[in-house]
Amino acid sequence: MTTKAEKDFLKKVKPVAKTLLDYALKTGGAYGITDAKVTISVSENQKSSVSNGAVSETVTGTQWGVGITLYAGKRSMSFSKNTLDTAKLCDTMKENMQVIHLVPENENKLLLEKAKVAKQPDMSALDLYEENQPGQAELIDYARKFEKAAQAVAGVKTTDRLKVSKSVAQTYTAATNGLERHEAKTTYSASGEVIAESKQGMEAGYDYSQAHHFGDMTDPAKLGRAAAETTVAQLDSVQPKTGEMPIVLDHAAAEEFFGTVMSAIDGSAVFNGDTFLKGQQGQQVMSKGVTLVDDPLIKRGLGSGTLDSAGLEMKPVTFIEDGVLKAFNASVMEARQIGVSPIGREDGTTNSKVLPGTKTPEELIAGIKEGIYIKGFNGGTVNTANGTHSREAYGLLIKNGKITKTAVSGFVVSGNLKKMFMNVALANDTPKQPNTKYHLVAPTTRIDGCTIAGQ
Amino acid sequence: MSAKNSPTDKFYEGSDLTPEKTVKTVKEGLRGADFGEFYQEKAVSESISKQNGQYTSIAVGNSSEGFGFRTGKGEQVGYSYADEFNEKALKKAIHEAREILDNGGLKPKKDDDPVGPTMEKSDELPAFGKVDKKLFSEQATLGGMTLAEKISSIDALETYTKGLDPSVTNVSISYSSTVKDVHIITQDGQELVESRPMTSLSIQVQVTDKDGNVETARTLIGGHIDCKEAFNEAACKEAAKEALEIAKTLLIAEEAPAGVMDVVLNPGWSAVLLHEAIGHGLEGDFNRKGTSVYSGKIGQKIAGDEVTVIDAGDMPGERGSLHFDDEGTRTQENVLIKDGVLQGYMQDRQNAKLMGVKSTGNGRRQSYAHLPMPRMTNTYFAPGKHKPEDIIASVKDGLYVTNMGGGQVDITSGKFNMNATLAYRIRNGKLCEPVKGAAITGDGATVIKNITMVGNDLKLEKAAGVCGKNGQSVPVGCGQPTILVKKMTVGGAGK
Repeated sequence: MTTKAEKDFLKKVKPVAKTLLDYALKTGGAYGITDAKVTISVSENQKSSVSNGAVSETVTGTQWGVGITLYAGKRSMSFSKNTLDTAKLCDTMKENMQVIHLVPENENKLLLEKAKVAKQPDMSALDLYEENQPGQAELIDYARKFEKAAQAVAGVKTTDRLKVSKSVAQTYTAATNGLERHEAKTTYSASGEVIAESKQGMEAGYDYSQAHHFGDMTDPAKLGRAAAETTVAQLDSVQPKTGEMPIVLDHAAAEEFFGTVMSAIDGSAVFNGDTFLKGQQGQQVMSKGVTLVDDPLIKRGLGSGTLDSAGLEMKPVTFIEDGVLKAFNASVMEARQIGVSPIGREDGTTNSKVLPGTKTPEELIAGIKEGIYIKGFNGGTVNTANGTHSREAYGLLIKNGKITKTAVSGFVVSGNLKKMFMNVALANDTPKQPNTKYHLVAPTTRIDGCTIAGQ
Repeated sequence: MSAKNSPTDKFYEGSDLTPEKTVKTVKEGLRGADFGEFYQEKAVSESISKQNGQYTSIAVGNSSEGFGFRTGKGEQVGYSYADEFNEKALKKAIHEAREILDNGGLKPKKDDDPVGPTMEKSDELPAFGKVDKKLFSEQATLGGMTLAEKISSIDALETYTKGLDPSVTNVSISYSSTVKDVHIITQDGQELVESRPMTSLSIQVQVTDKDGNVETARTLIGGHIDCKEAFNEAACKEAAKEALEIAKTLLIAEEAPAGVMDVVLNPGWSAVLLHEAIGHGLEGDFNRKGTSVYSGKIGQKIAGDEVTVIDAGDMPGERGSLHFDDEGTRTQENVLIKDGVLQGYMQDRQNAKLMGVKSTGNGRRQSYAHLPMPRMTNTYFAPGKHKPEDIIASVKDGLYVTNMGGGQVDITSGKFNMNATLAYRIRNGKLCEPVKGAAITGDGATVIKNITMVGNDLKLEKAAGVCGKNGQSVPVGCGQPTILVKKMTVGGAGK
């Protein structure tokens, strides 16, 4: 099923792409051009902000983009412009053709081999494009409900930067190796900051929701209340004592931690020798029980798709299975650089998930005499080359097996990733997918052996 | 205005609009508004990246252009942008940007002054960027060197860096350059143009010791310069040697200790701490809304006697300098804190108006697809009277930070965290062993009170600063002399 908007887009851009590819090969022949790839995209954006019930800001706009890569044997170069003007695009192509012989060869950068290019499987079952879109009034109404619910919570001083946005984006890619790909997505995002105040000072918190269908967004009143309650809970926070103690990560902090795991198995990091997991495929790199998978075929999933932009069909991938490293997250170029097979993730991971463990979160925490329940990290250093982990965090104190109401902040979680990865225990509460908040869903996660630097 | 070779010509190329018509349409579009402007840009850029011996990306001939129209009244702002510039698109943008305000009662009346009665008149800026003081060259182009020359410079720098030391296991070099031409029509119909070059050359060196331990360090050359300056051979070699030196020191450095201690920050880029911990809290929007720790404190003593903080967008050659900001206001020197007393905030037009002050020339935006907001330009601690060696000598047990990484701040609570990639222990006034991975946390309001000594060796960083706020990035400069901050929380994995 193709919507009218999709048909209109394709009718407009397909001839442009064809003109550009034809020009690349015909005119480029004299300059040794052997292949070309064209990507055309458009996004229509709309954003509204609300302040004390009134609309404070509206931003609307449309942006086009065209990206072209030329290949001459083992040489390649690219450029992008935000215009569909084929005369201008061909002029720049010509300029690049004239100098492409100066570019050093790198066969790893070539297009995917023709035989490996898949035909794009139908995407309609993934349901990433909402045809009947809400108007601005509905977006504003969402923001107002979010704000009202947040402001109603005791201890909240005000809300700020409360915004709801809609983006309608389409992309078309065609290349001389047979690649043809089209994606259309609607994406709604809402976010807001809550400022809570007590005698001791102010504290800011933040929450957000994102979905391909407006109706899938977290209920605005629920989101506003949750944002406010989390912020109020962090008021009057204290610095914990310095020492070694277990940490327990909530879903948001766990997403960040497993994001670090993904950085450590990134193809580019392996190529550059920037990860201690280089050469560890098939080895136990995390605690037993840890399985990390990525599924691109989840209906309405934030990262879902059927064909990556290199032309590989996207299928579920297991990165870590029971703690054993199964695959690196490598693009086509990176896969060639490090000598593995590409996995159909040219554009990054899609909907990642850490499978649930067996204990309930309460059971996971029960044995901890003194520890910290971490709700988020702020910056810091994570170095996957040498394993350094040193990040500021905030959350609640754990005492005698229970999460207390004592908020803690201004401390640093230090450890070495090599050790941390092997000290992971998982609860059974992995959030469901599609998820309106997490691109990577992970259960409540306990890590032992970290140093807390506080008072 | 002469019709021949006007500096605005390139902005109207291929468009059905003329300067006269555009100015008239924009002024009409701003009827009844408190503030607003037309902003247009045309940017060209290129980048080359070589990693681990392979050219992984060569992008040449990129361009991006577009415009945006903004109108605002009180707390309300409407903005609309498009990438194609013609009469139809401009009228559509004006219509969409006005919609929010028209609903709120901004419908233009016939007798409305084209410049709203409450509108602040624009500064008398000499048109077309012909300012009296040149902050950087507006003649820079991407074409100062051929592609072949750029590639051979990168190859030579890579060979040189690899040859510096047998412990070097990987060298990555990334070059990127852009020239952004900006065209603004202010609320009272002035047309301003400026050409803003920005180039960056990054040299990353990875070293590995005999036990397989890996460390990486990166140095940058950059700022409002073109490729020729960035590829200056002597400067490149210097940067490579510096990166190698840092990486090798990291190999022998111990993990930073954890605890509360006195911290000496070296001159230059360490001021990213000032930027995060104090600068953001002095931006007008947070203070207008009362959500900054510094809200309502003008005239109060908020810092030690030796502390003077300045944000100046008009410093020649500095990274955050602009002849005028992205709302068409002339940039200037703004003293934010003088001898410890808070003087004022950094303002754009909207927040200035709402707070009853004048814009300070700090209204900046990432691109035509973004709204301007109060942003820093070049922010620095003014030099004090102490010699740097005296500052170090005064510390009994502490840290001397030589390489600060990035950081984050929560403006509301003032809490920040910074990462000191490399530092040295100070014991009994002497620099001792190197330590790595020190996370420094605290809150800006306390830190600035705990600055007890300010050195006489002010240095500004030209290459590294990129500031993110509300999803928008802009280049910024920052700087400081050597300073001593008492009692900071340092987090590291060491003893």
